[in-house]
Amino acid sequence: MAEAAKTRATKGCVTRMTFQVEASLHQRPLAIELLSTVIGHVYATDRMFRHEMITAFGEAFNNIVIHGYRDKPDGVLDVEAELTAHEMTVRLIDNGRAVDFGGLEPPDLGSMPERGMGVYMIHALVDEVAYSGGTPNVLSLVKRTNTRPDPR
Amino acid sequence: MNCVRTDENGESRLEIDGALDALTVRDIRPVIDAVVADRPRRVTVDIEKLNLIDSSGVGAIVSLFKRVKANGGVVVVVGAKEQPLAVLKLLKLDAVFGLT
Repeated sequence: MAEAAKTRATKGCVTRMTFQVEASLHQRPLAIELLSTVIGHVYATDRMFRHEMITAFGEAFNNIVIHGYRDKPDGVLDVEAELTAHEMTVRLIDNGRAVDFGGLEPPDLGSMPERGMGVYMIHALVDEVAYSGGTPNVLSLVKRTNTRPDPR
Repeated sequence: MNCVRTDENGESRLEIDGALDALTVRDIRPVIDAVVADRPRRVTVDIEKLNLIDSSGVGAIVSLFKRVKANGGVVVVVGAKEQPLAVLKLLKLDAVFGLT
């Protein structure tokens, strides 16, 4: 990522992408593919960054669709992504029920839980998690690019 | 997601490809139930061609692991790489599943 990041920092480039999908698990592959593609283009060499951000996004998507839009089949989910040389921000915006994305105790991984790991994974994989419940609900995930050594 | 089961000499092998997530996990649960019911002494879960997994998918494999173990069997996971490997490491399952 080093050269691309330097170039982007020098030019102050910001890449933005927004899209809207039906709040359905059937739209999850599309949403992940869109996000993965833009990450791959901007942070081309840092595959772990992409894995971690996509994983966190996927868990957030699941929680909003399954819990926030339970019994609300006509919901939509807006996604905003912003990528700079130093960090990526993803916002998931919905009008379903508010979902608890914080304040959870870490699961006892030693007991090999079969569920309840999603929110833990989100917090473990990104640098900042902010949630504002209301109309709409807004979940922001921020992941910085300098949180690990240069992969090259 | 596609899951192919093969059996030989009391051992089962599941080859899973594609994405194992909240959407597709419902398709693999009947396969897991059938494997557990047959009480194999060893189950190998090959995820070399799995390109995406989420907590729901992990939960399904953990369920398989626990139930086979309760019957006296062993479950190993092979071929993990990229995103699935990162998730299993995050959840400290890589060693449990014999990936390290």
